[in-house]
Amino acid sequence: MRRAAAALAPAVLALLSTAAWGAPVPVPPPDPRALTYPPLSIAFPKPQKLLLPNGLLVYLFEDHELPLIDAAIDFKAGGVFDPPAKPGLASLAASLMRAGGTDQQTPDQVDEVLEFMPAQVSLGAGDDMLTGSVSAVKDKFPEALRIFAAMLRAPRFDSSRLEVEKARAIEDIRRRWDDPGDVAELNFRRLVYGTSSPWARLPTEDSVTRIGRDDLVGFHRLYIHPNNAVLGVAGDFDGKGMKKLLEETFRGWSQAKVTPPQVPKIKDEIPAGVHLVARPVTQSHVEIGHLGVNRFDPDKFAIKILNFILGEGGFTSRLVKEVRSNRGLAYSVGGGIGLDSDRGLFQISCSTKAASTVEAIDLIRTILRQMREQGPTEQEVKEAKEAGINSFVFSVDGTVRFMQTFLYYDFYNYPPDFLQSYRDNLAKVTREQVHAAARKHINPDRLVVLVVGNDAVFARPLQSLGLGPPKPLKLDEGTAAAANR
Amino acid sequence: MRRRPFPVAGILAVLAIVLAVPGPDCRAQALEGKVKRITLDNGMRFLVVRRGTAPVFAANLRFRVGSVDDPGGESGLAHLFEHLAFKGTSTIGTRDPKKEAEILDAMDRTVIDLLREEDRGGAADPKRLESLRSDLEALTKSLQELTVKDEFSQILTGNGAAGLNASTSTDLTSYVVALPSNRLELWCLMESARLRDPVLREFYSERDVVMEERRMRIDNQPQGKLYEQLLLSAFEAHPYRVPTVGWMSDLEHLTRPQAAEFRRGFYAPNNAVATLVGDIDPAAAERLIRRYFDGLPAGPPPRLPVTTEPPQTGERRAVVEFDAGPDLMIAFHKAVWPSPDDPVFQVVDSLLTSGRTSRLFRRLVLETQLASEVYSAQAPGDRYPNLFVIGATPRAPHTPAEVETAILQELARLAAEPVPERELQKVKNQLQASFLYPLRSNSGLAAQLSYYEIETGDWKNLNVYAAALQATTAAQVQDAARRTFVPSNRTVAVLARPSAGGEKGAGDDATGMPPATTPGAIR
Repeated sequence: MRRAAAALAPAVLALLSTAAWGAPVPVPPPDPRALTYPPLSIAFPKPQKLLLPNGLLVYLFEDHELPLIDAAIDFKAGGVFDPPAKPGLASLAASLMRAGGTDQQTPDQVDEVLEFMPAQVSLGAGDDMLTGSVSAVKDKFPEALRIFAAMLRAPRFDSSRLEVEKARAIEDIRRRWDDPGDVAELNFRRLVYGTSSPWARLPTEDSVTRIGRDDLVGFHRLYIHPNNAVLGVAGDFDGKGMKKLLEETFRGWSQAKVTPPQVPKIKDEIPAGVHLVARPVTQSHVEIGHLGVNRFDPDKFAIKILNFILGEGGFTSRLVKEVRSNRGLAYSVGGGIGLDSDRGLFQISCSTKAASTVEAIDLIRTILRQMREQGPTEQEVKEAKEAGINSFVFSVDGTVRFMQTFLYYDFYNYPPDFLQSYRDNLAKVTREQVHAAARKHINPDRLVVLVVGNDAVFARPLQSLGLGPPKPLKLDEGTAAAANR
Repeated sequence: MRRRPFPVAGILAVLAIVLAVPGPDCRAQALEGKVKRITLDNGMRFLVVRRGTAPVFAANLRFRVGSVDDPGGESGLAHLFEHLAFKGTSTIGTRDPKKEAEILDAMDRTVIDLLREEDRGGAADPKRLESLRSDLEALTKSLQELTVKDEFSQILTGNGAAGLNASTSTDLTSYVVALPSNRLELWCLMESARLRDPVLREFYSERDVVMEERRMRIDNQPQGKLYEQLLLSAFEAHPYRVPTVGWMSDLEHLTRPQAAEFRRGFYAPNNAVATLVGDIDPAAAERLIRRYFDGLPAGPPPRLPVTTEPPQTGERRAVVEFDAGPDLMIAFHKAVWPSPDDPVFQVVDSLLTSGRTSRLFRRLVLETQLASEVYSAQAPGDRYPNLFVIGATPRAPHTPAEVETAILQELARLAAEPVPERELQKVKNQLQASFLYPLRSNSGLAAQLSYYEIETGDWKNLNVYAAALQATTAAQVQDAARRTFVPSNRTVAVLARPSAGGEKGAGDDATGMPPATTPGAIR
């Protein structure tokens, strides 16, 4: 499939070595596939590990290039642990820890001090991780950290600010279905996981209205403890001084037993078939897929290669090549098998003009079926592995980013040598393993197909997909019911 | 909406710290030591900065060409060209360049005939249409047999490229990528090759891709639609009014010969700046750069748009009907760098919407709760006089009119009262720090240096701009607000549900008138 680059190589190399540096490059230029490169040595930043007396686990990453210090903290908390009647609690609690003041300062005082320094502070809740961060110029960092620590240890949860943030959250809910891309994204998740699943349920106006200050206080008491977190600090400091600063700043923040509620395991009850949200738009948003896998699935590395070949490798992936580049059917197309704490989503997304909606869905199904039946080619596997191995060096680019990734691995209990052995694990993947992963994890006969679009102007009807009549999906169906369950 | 491509200013302060330079007087000099500038005989400029510890580098190659340079009736061409720049060269992307060239020419002829026939509308000959379409299909098929799909991208990706991408704005087109530091020669080879010898293959399917991009970003996206209308209303003559992605009818008519002509006008080395930042040896980089780019022929100076926007003579209002929650954008014409107003508006921008203590956030979101979000920016570009834009998301049951009134009152206050010293200092502190953070990434630094070099002619204008920000006075803010935030200089665009009809805006009753807005981690 490729040009005979190898045959050209000797001639080109000879030419390169005889050409004096600085001499103009010949026309046409040498074959880029014939270039050779000196080996690259990658050094992994080595953090200093501390355990503070209160049980807070800390990793320090010294880096003196810029006069900045960043800290990040991850708590085991998040939306999947929300009480069934109060989805949105974790998210609101995190934003009020940031916006609601501390035991020492009102919300206004906190904001004035931080923004004059200035320091950047953020707190937010995801599905099963609540993350906070603070960053400032090094001489302002101790003061910024003190405020950040107070937000964690003793948030004020100011009532009037709670009302403001609730009102903003409700406005977001009102606008939830304004963008057809969001409609597709959120509803695909709800279809595959189920509307009442902790991994898919959405807050409603009612559920947010019901959340009171007591709920936030209760949330904080349940989760925000030093022994339920991992902290990282990166930047321009010396280890000893930072250890002292952390001990002083977090003194008095005490341990507590943390027992998050059991989250029911995701059930594989996929409502396969075509679902339609009718919208008078000129472009359809399509989501196709089913459940994905656990982040520690034994096929993890084969799946990474598979995803790259299928739809995550940018221009070089099959979906982009076929749907976008060859056929011009989409600007945005791609996806793969998601890995998550329980089960990720296998999700292919595509947006295409109304007329070509069914053509695009058919093409994507064909690509999935081919991948499952024939698997990838040797060449595709080789190229995907090369790309993954050669770009690996970017995992150590930037100390702050490295720290965040390191904390993530620690938080989810990745094997300690995960990063160090990553390239070897990719290199070991065979074409057969990728094909086996495709057979096991992609099921073209059980696909959920969600279309947000104007089916009246589709060139072919959705029924012609042979997946039965499209089931109309009402947008707010289920949200309130799910919240009450 | 489009924010400024990145915060303009301040990198200088940071580099000064990085280099531990004692005083402001030494800054420019010390920076010159750190940023190596290479100017080739063909006029192409390179900036090289060695920094960082990881063995990687980021490249940012910008051309001074954007949608303002689209020829009349060919809107979207600069952006479509950016897409086509990834299609390869005569040696990258095809099995048989000679045969391919013949087919590409035949396709152009067929497409042009087909467009001509289609444009006859009802009078078009159905048989001829069908025959042309089937010719085109056959040509496309025979071309696909010769094409090595996306080989240009594949070579870079296979060599570990991260963040391979490009973007087009009203003013500039930028090609970005990060590579392992031992791949510097590959970057030189690939970029010089597509500059010397691009083959605009797969032109017509890529044109379809761009139409999908327009449908996604604008036609079916409430904010995109509103922003497009805002620019159309605020600019009546200047090309800043035309959407960068292009009009659908123009896109339908673009052809490969037009793109080739466009390339001859703008894609010359003398119209480009490339910045390389990372773990690379500047001397070795210079040798490679000269080796690969020296031989490129210079082009004629690019044609510049001549139309200037006539002064606005009265308030303009527009309503966009869309099935989404209400939305609001307000714009005022203003001058751009090197006008001293430009840094002053950067300060105004921060005063109004940067952070929870900013004036509009405090008033609209925290106190009155009229809105759930508020933002501001200078847009759509920086090459020609532009706009200061304020946008806000009304919170039900509040209306765009209520939000507009509150915003206008804050703007009036800016014109009526000097900004207190401490508030001004807060904003200056924020602006200074906001330049530090992008420096943590090679790509952030590369983007800033390239931007200043190509937009202002010298990256060192960063120093000048940052100094101007820090020197901004309360009187300057008040003066700029008084001159700019006047009704006759104002454009208001409102998004409303179709049933709501044209809502009466606050500006209709003239009472409250003011006298004067990297690659993801492995998991």
